[in-house]
Formats: sequence, structure tokens, C-alpha cells
Amino acid sequence: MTPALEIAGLSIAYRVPAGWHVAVEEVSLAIARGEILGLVGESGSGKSTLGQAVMGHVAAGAVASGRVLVGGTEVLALPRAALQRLRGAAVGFVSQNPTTALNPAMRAGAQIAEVLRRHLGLLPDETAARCLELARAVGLPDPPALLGRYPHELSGGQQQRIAIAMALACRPGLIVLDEPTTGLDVTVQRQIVELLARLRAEHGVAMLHITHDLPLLATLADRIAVMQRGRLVECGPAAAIVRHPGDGYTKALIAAVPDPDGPAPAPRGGPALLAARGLEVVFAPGFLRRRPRPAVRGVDLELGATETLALIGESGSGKSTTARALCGLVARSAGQVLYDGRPLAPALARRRRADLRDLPYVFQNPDASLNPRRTVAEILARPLAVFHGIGGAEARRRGARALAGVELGEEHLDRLPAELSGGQRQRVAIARALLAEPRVILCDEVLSALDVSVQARIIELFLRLQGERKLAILFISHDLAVVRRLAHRVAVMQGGSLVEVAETDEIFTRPRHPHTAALLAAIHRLPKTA
Amino acid sequence: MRLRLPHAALRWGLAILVLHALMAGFGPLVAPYGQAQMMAGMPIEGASLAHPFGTDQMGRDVFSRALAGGWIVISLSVAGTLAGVVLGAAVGLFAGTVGGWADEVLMRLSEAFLAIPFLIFALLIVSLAGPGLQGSPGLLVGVVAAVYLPRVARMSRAAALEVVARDHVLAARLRGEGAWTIARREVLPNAIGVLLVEFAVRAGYAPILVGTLGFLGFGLKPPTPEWGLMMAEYRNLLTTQPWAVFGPGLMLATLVIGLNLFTEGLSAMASRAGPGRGP
Amino acid sequence: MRILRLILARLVASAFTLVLVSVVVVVGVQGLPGDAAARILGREAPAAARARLREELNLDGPLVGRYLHWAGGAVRGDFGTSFASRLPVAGFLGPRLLHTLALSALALLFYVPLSILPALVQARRPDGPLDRAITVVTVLILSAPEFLSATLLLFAFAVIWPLFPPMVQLTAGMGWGAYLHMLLLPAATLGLLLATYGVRLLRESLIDIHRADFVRMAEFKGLSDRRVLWRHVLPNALIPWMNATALNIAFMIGGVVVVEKVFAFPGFGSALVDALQLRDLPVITAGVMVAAAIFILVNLLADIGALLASPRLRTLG
Repeated sequence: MTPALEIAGLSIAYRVPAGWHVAVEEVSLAIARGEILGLVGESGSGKSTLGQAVMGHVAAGAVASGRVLVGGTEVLALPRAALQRLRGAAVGFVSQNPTTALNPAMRAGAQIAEVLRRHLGLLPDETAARCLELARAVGLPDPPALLGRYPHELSGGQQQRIAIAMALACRPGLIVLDEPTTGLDVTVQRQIVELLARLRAEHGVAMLHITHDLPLLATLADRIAVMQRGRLVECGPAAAIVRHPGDGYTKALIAAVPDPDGPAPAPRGGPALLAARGLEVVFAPGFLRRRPRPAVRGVDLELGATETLALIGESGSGKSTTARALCGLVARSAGQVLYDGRPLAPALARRRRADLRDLPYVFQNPDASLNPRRTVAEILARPLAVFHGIGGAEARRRGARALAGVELGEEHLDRLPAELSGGQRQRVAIARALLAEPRVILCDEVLSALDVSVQARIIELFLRLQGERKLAILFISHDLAVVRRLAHRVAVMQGGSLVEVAETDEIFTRPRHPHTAALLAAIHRLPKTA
Repeated sequence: MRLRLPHAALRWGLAILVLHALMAGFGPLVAPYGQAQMMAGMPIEGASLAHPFGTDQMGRDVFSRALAGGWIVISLSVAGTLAGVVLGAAVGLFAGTVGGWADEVLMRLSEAFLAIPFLIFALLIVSLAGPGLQGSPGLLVGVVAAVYLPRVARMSRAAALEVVARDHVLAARLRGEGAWTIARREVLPNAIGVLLVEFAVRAGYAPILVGTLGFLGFGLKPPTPEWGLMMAEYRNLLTTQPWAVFGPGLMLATLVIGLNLFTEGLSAMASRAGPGRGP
Repeated sequence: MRILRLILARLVASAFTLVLVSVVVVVGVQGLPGDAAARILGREAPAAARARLREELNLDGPLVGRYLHWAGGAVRGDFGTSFASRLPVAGFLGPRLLHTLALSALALLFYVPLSILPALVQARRPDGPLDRAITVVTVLILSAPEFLSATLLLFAFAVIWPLFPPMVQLTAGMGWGAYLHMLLLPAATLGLLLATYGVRLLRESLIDIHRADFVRMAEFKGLSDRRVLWRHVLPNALIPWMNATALNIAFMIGGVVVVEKVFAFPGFGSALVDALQLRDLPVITAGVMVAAAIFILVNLLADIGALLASPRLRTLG
């Protein structure tokens, strides 16, 4: 029997100003019928380029050599018309971001129906019946209503289910999934993974699942392939790869995955340095717009002078808004923020400079939080100039020292942010926050844009920093495994309210609120090495 | 491979602009005849080697006149554009950075000015300026600037808003920095590329605006050899000596082509849409 | 209904802008510092004549009262009396506006295909030879001043090949065929000039949308290239085109001034230019207001059209 997918000696190279960039190099692999192969790798490993090649797509200006056989058909050499008959019928595709992958001007049902009409030539009422059937198969609630909606009227999870229904519509032998759960909340991620496992069991469809999330693959995939800089470094049964990685890179990758069952830092007592009492944020309604919506309601929170408090919750739960109200970036509507026992004004403009110095904020995305037109030295000089009146050579000396503190060399001082990697940029952002010599730093999903190996090093950096100086950290995250490694206490938010606060071990072992339990249940774990 | 076209556009544009600059600077010195010299040839002579654009009713050499017009068109356009872009950018960046009611008032007002079609707005200013000011180069510079000001203000406000929403500006606000410091250190360096392209786009339309006003009789006055005005003056020669009409038109069109090609290349490098609609 | 509320919001905003424009225009036209009568008649005019004119044009008294006087008349359709022709402004501008509207409507018939078809050809193979050729042509047309292109077309189709009259003359008893014949060349000129802007914009947005995730997805679903274009690319690319078309129509109100002048077309634009030349303040005020009102109306219609065409705008506002 022909395998669902067979790739032999595939190389893909792009023309870049300095010559050729080899995105995929001599990759060979096969997926049996009904098998799930997980393809894991960090950003720039070439895994998405590979996934698109399986769809017979090679970007303009790139050249490919080698063979890609989908159900026995060579797709790279296929004429356009034949390729379009094969796509959607023999192989389906699910992309990372369902919000941009669905046509905003077309109803969800119509987007499924057009695949059916195109490849199966169904009559209108057959198409409608099949669409409903597919919607039920991917677990959409109330299919008739949801199929009539436009993509923006659906949640992220529902959009991704529609995308999966589209890929599944013509019962292809293979589906390529390119990071299908990356942008979704953890509980939704879990549901999608369960759906994929069920669809494989029911329909016997093979899957190429591309992701950076190794624990997820450990639960879902039959086999795992690891890519690094365009090369396939290892491929084998999932359990074997995770328990006994053969390749050095795979070992490092596995070691970098934070352990959700590891020991949490010992709790630290002490009086509260920063506290919120009945904090409430309501965004004002616009002209003739929707009703005012409370983003944060009645939050009581305390942060000790030397502790790390993790604030967790799904998107829209109000965790970022809470942190922004604490530092004054968002004006609160009600309640109090106490710093060192003193109330702080809601608006930034009314706060004392010393209070601003003590509460810097580190943003999620370092691409946006560093001025792209200023060098690292200039960026680091700002807090020194504003808060400590230090400039010139002294500022440069301190900047270099701060870089050393985040494990970056002095040579980075004269670079622009664009000349640094994502991890290096986030280190610069952290160094800038520390140069103010604050007593608290507010970290908003600071790890989520980074690869796991970079994440692991920044987690160690935070642990070291807190050991070296008196520093309180409010750490916003959706990644519970990271939280367990880093936080002394955890606060859980849902729908703008705080539903549970407890010491980290307590939260992980004896969650009291059902939402906390749901978040914990969604964690994917790597099997323990023997 | 997408890079080749813009660079070619930039090169061609630059070449044409250099040629025009040379013509504007040295043309009058090497022109075969004086621009006001009557009976340089027979009246209403067709194009020939001696008179590339022929002669007009008074026997003036149209080519020599057109050469003399270059620096007038270029200097008026550049001065007007510069004034409009600098003032508009200042207003727009201020409104976008400060926000609040000042922004609201400025933008409502600019919307009202934008609702008047720009050519009618330009004609209105000239008309209201009265007979005393009409035909003066200063008024024309003012008109170009006034037409551009609200447009540039809106555009630079949008650019500022985009930058102001970025996290590095929030970080600056969290350091307690004032609006002026933020505008100067964070917003301007990130908006300058857009503003330069904007200047180029506006500069590309300014000669047309100046020419149109001249053509409609609202610009400079005869016997100034401004190209739009010349085309209006020679309109009744269209059937007998069309070169008198199309010669100055050719000068104007090639100048604008040079400016537009240059802008096209510039904006492709700054990855933004090229010359857009009107001013 | 959310959509009705959104449309209502746009309506209110447009009405507000219109009122603001009228304040700017009336104050600008009548309230400039210095003696308006002197600006009209010249400084050498006798004082008595200037005083008479000031009274006739209602130039004395506080500005607020004068604005209210004008606005009160305007809502009743009374825009005063032309100072030059002694006719009521509404009766003077009205018929000319109708000719101009007919010209614009005809120009729009040229505009739509001329702006869509070349862009579709270009977007099929960006940077291909056809794309480059059309880009060169649009840059050339775009770079030529409107009065030059119009004169060229007049020269080609009325002088070299006299298919059309060199001057538009509209007479009271003329038939529809003759009327159309008179309008055709100026309308085609206007449509062609505007279409170049539409082509450039539509090309950009077609290529942009072609790069969008959902178009890649449609291709990965195996849809035919034709369906990808018609069902996925075009509907999304036409939304910005619609807004650009609104701006184009608004631009037409200004551009029509030039085209009318070149073809000696007795329309609204040439009437306004004459009034501006003569400083006929009542006609100027009314004419500028009409132009602004058309601009605002067209943009309002485009906004509502975009709302109806784009489901996302419809619910998110």
C-alpha cells in the first residue's frame, strides 16, 4: 500500500541578497496511512516551508529539488490544473491563524461548501447536508446557526474547527496542520488536539502536524520528526524520541521544556509592596457604540516585596488590563492601588517620578517595545537619564553592565533592535526595566514570542535576578509549566474577575476553582524519562 | 526581483530631474533667443530646428520662453510643497501625539477643509485674495501650501497614531516623559520615512497645481512664461501651431514624470504605495 | 439593528461636517478682514458704490447674524441673487449643475471598466511585461496635467480626426442623440483621467489580497484560479476600490472645472470659475457649498456601501 506521504531528498532554497538560503535540506520522511507524524522545530527550522511543499507550493523565487509524493502522486511536478484537483481532495491544509485563513467576506458554511462542490460536484441539498454533518464531526455546537455566520462572528476555536472541517470535507488521505493550536487558549488547544485524535480514529486520515510544542506532540503523534536549520535531525516513535532522544539538539529541546510537575520556588512571606483593592477598569463606550464593558472587576491582589506572583488566565480574562491599571498605563475606574502602603493616582500624569521608576513594565513583544530607530545604548540610556540624571560615558558604562547582567556582550550596545534576535531583544527590554532600579517589575507574557530554548534561559535569568536583588515580579502568563518553575504564588483570572489565589504548589495539586482545574487539565506533559 | 523596477524608476526619475534642473538653471543662458524677444522669427511659425516649439503670434520663440519658465515652476512648487508639508506634519504629529480635544478639533476642521474639492479651494483662495495679490508668486506658494496642509496633517496624524500605539511609546509614557519629548524621540524618527515619501508625492503634484491655476487664469500673469499659463495663452493656436500648446505641456509633463518616477522608486524602497490621487 | 445605528452615526457625522464647511465658507467668503466690496470693485471704486454693494451683499453687521441669514435662506433653497447676472443663484446654477451631472454620470460609465480591467490584467502576473506596460501608461497619464491630457484628446478627436465638436454647445431644442454626442468626448476624457488612479489602487489591493492567508487557503482547498479570483480576491479588493472611487468622484467635481474649461462645456464648473473670476460672492458661496455637499454625500454613500459589502465592518463598526 502506498504511504499517505513520502518525501525523498527534498531541498528548498530561496534567493537572498547574499546568495542562497537553504530552508529545507535533503529531507526524507514518510507517513503511513492513518498515521500522525509530528514535525517539531524552532522558528527558522524550515518546518512550515516543508508543510507548504507537501501542498505543492513553493514560494516564488525559491527552487525545490527532490520528490514529494502525496498518495503516490508527485506534487512538485504537477501541472497547475492537476494540482488544483488534488489539493483539497487528496490533501487538506489547516493553517496557524484561523482568523486570517478564512475569507472575512464569506459565511463559514459557504467556505466549506465550495470545497465539496469543487471536488465532489454535489447538488445543493447534498452539500448542505454534508456541511452540517462535517460541522457536527468537528464538534461545532448548533451547526445550522454557526455555519450561517461570518468568520469574525466566531471564536478562535470555532474558526479553527471550521478550517478543520474544510480540510476534512472531501475525506482526503492526508491533512497538513501548520501550528493549528498556536494562537488558541490552552483549554481550546486541548479540545482541538482531542478532536484531531478522534478524527484520525474515526476517519483514518493521516496527519502531518507541524508545531513547536513538543509536549503536545508527545500526547498526539505516533512518530515525531525533529527539524533544525532545514535538516531533519531525528525521526522515530514519539515515546522513544521523548524518552531517549538520540540527537544532541533533540536532547536540548526536551531539556528546555519547562516541567509542569517540577518543584515550585518556596513561598516567601512578608508584607505587601504593591496591592490592588477592589480594582475595576471599565472601557468607556464610543459614540453610538456598544455598552461600556468592564474589563476588570473587583480585583484584590497583593504582591510581596521579594516574591513572584503569576497572573494566569485565558485571552480576554483581564490579566494584562489589571497589570496596566497597576502601573497607570490604563486608568482604573474604581478601587485603589497601594504602593508601599500609599495610594497611587489612577493616571500616569499624576504619579510621582519615583513611583514610575519603581514600576516598569516589560511588554510581550520586544519588536514593538524597543524603538526601532534607536541603538541599544540609546534605549538603555533613557531610564538612566529620566530617573537618575545619568548621561554620557557613565550611562554607556552602566548600559554595558546591564547588558552583562542579562548575559549580553558589550558589542550589542551599538546595534539597532532589528540586528538582534527575538531573545536578545527581550533581554534588552528586561535590562532597560532593571536600569531604572525598580522594586517591582510587571512582565506581560514576556516569554510567549520566544522559542523554548530561549524561554528556558530567560526563566533562569529571572530566577537569578531575584536571587541577586530585592525584586518583586508580577508575571503574566498563559503557560502553566513556566509559572510552576518561576512563581511563588499564582492568581487565576476569568472574565475580568480573580477566581483563585494560592501558593503555586497548592494551585497545581489542589485547585479549588473549576476554571483553575480546567486550565490544569489542559496541560500537555512530556512522559518522564526512565 | 521586485527590487529591480523601483531602482530603475529611481534612476530614470533622477536622470529626468537632473536634466530639468540643468534646463531650469542654465537653459535661459544658452537659449537661442531672449524669452521676451519679439520677432525672433516670423509669427506663428511651426516647429523647426531654429524654433523647436515654433513661434507665437508675436514671433517670440516658444522654446526659449519655455526654458525660461522652468525655474519659476520648480521654485514655486518646491516652496509651496515644503511649506505645506512642514506645517501639515507639525499639526498632524502634534494632534496624533497629544490626542484628546485638540486632536478632535484639528481633525474636524481639516475634514471640513478637505470636503471642498482642492482645485475649487485653491481657486477660492486666489479669488478672495483680491486683485492686489493676484498673480504674485507669494500667493501661489501660499495656495499650494494651503491645499496641502490639511492633507498632510491627516496623513501624518495617522502615521503618528500608528506609532503612538506601539509599546515603545507606552514605555516612554511609563517613564513619565512629556508629549514633546515623545514626539521628538519616539514618533518623529519612526514617521520620518513616511513624511519624506509624502513630501515627494506632494512635490510631484505641485507643478500640476501651479500649471492648472495658470491655465485657468488664477495663477501668474502674462507675460510670465509659466507653462500652464502659456498653454492657455496659445490655446487659439491649437489648429495652426499646436507645438506652441504642446511644447510647454511636454516640459511640464516630463518634469512631473521625473518627480513621479523618483517617488515611485523612493516609496517602493520605503514599501509604501506610490503616487496616489491628486494632491 | 447595529447596521442602522452605524449608518445613522455616519449620517450625523456627515451633517456635522457639512455645517462646519458652511461656516468655514461663509465666514471665509464674507468675513475676511478688509473691505470685501473693495476687493470686488477695486480700491479706486467710489465710496458710495462700495457702500451700496456692501449693503446688497449683506456685508455689514456681525458675522454670526450674517451666517444665520445665509443659512436661513439656504435651507429654503434661496442662495441669494447673483451679483453679476442679476439672476437668482439657484435658478442660475441649477440647469448647469444638471449638465455637469449628466457629464459625470457618463464619465462614470467609462471609469468603471477602465479602472477594473487593466488592474485585473496587471494582478494576474505582477512584474510581468503586461503589468509593467500598464504601469508605464498609468504613470504617464498620471503625470500629465489634466488640462494637457484633455487638450491632447481634443486635438486628436476634434482637430485631427474631427469625430466630435471642438466646443460643446448645448441648445434648448437639441435631441438626446446630439446631446450625447456633445458629451461623449469630455466624458471619456474625465473617465479616463480618473480611471488611472483607480487602476493603480486596485492593482495594489489585488496584489495585497493575493498574499493574504485566506487566498493561500483557498488555493490549498483546490479551488480553480477563476473561483479564487472572483469569490475570494475580488470582493475583498473592491472594498478599498469603492472608497477610492468615492474620492475619485469627489475629485471629478474639481477636475470637471478643467475639463469644462478645455471643452468650453457650459456646466457647473465653468460657471463657478466665472463667478470666482468676477468675485460674484453669492454664486461662489453656493457653488463651493454644492461641491462640498456632493463630496460629503458621495463619501457617505461609499462608507455605507463598504459597510454593506464588508461583514466585518458591519458588526465591528
